[in-house]
Amino acid sequence: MIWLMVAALAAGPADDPGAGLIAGLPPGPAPSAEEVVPRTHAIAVTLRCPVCQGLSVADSTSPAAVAFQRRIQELVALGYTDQQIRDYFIDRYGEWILLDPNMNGLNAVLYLLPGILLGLGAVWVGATVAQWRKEPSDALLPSEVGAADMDDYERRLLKELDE
Amino acid sequence: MISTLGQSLVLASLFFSAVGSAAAFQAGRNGSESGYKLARTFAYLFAGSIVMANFVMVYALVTHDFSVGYVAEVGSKSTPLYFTIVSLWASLNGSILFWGGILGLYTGGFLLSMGNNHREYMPWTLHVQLGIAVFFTLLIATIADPFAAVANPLPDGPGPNPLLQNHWLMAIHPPTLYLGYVGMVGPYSMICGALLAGRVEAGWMRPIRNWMLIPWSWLSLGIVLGGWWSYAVLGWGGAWAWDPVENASFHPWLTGTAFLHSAMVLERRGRMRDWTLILGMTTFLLTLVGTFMTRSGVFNSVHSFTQSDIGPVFLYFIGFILVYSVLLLAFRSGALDEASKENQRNLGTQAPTLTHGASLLSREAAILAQNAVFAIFTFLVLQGTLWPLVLEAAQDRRVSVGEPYFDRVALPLGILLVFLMGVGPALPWGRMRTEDALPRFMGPVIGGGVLAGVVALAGYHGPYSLLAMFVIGFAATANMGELITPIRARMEAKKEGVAGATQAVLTRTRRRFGGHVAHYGVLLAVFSLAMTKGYRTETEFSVSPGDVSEFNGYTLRYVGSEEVQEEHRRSMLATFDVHSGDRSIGLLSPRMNYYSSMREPVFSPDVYSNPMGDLYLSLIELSGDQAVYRVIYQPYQMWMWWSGPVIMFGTLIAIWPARRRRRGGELPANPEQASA
Repeated sequence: MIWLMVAALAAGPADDPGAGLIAGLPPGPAPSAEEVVPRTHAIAVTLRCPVCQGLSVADSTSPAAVAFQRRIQELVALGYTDQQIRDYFIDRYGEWILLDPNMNGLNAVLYLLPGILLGLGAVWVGATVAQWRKEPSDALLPSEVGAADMDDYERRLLKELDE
Repeated sequence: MISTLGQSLVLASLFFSAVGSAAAFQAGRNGSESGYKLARTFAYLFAGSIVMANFVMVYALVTHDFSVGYVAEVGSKSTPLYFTIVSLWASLNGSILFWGGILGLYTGGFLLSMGNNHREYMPWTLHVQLGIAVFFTLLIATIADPFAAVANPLPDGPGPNPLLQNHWLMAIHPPTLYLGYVGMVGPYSMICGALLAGRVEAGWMRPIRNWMLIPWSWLSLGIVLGGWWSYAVLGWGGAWAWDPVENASFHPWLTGTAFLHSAMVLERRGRMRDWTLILGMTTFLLTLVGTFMTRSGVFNSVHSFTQSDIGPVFLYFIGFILVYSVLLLAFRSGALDEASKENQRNLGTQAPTLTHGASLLSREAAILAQNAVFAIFTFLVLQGTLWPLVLEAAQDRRVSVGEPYFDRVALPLGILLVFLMGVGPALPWGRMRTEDALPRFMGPVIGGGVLAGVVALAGYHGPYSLLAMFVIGFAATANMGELITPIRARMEAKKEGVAGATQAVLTRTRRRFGGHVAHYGVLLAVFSLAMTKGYRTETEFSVSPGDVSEFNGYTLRYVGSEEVQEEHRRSMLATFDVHSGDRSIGLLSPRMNYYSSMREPVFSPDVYSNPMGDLYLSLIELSGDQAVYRVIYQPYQMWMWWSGPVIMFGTLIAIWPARRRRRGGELPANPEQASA
């Protein structure tokens, strides 16, 4: 099934790419030739190669990925925006095709959690160290029971480094 | 015949592990010497029979005995001998048998190394370890039985997965990872042993940390080899794509690394006890989750999940281990508190007085922060990996979470971790005044600045790579200081020469020394990663024979294509004559390998490597005279592959058994005696 779609995509009419396939018209003039390759690459990195395991269209050498790349390049050269081109692929394959998920609905969790966790981690570290600071300097730590494993030299070295 | 022999050995190991686990439990409860000896004997018998079962399977594979189910599945008379042997782990049932065999080896090695020491922990540890062995031997004996007899054996089989035969690395990478995964049973059961025994002393943390180091270093090597395999075989020019199966091996590495550090805090400073135990237990759980993710097929297609027999059973086992661990921690950590209070009372005034308390600028605080970052990292990678499953289950919505997302998460966390890798070693344990601490960062800051400057002069001056180079140089210098300071201190204290002092430091502070060496291994990987991520360049050419393409200072002349027929595959080669400036580099021949059992060819690249960077050629299309190929330049790629061996080397230094030295002194040499 996916192969049919890829084939259709690869054979897409190059002279009439806008007709019913892509939302809106190119907003501006066609980009300069130097811009096309890096922009194609930037878009290809965010799209999933449909027949690979987790590789992007930019990375994969499979025929499907190569067909995708050519299509992206065509659309970029015609002056479509990155977002229009991504939407074009989402239309055909679903949002599954995006390697970098859109931040909408539950997906927001993916984008909010890292910050929240870092905040919590900082609080945890801060609170723990604050507690350590309060400890009296001569308290006996449970680890001293096994401290015999540290040899004299190591102990002296530690002391040296402590001073 | 072979089937029966193999099945009997598996059943025997099931019996030995079950009886041994029960005997060890009994011995733990009543402290009986004969009970423990019995349990140990059963443990050795388990190890012996499951390892034997593996040899029987290898024999069946090599003799092409297609009456054995697994041989009929993966064997083929046309497969070269080497790949026939390694197809032991080519498919699910064989790899679970192999899993069991490695558990047997670890169990035997563990018992031998422990000798008669740590008697109050050992029965409980053995009870848990053999209990886990029961689960795996039960799997091998029932739903994953590789020895199942084939009623009407065929004269030949399909052969192993072609990807396995495509490169020698594929033969080494899985067992390395298995040695990492399975070995995590060791620290897990030792931690459970401590909780069940109701005590955990520094004298027990030390072997736990060693038994974590061994699988951890295998896991590190396995991850690097996996990356190398992906780079050398898959033709896309990268080592890591944040694929779920790759992430599965990364999770336990992250928690294991955190554990190795927090265990030091626990051993030396008596802090972070429960957290450390949780990390160790989580590491084992994550290896189970990883095995499940890799082997159940959940990730190839969400819907194949129900078709796999082993998936649900594995999931139950993961649930069981999770509940067991949580209950053990909840009900037994109180006993650990009691034990350590009692120890303090017994020791009384004999205890040495070191300064305690710790400031924010101290080694333990750096390790605490590092642990927090590692925990967050683990959680975020796990979450991103599982997110598509979660969202499909919750909302029937299909999404992907891939490289761009993970890279964005990993970049700041990675930079933070490398920075902390320099902060920790630069600081002493305990309390320190800020004005004394800050000068210690002078050297590392200069080191970081120098590396960033050198790399910028070489033309790599993006903001992220400058930041990455700064922290790498910072950490490298701080670790170098930690290698040199003790040697210098020794030279002054004992008036020894450099060689003598180095040797003395190396033999006396192996663990510290090995740790710093391992840090350099990680730094190599991070350095290579930062450069290849930031400065990879690539382009595609479509050529006919005789055409010359220019790329990144190289000229590539397309010579032509040819077809090569081998016993197990047919290959199409395209050959390029490559020059760097005027200097000839030789011929590079990327190829497409066709295997009879695969519809799509495997695109094997050809690579010219040197320390400054790799020139990587990969075929895309070959039709008639025309060849379409991709050429990639990956700066400093080779350094990544060296990180694995360096980490292994550091680990080897750290765990190398020390000469036994009898020490006098006021402290009891054996921690257990103190509390007896």
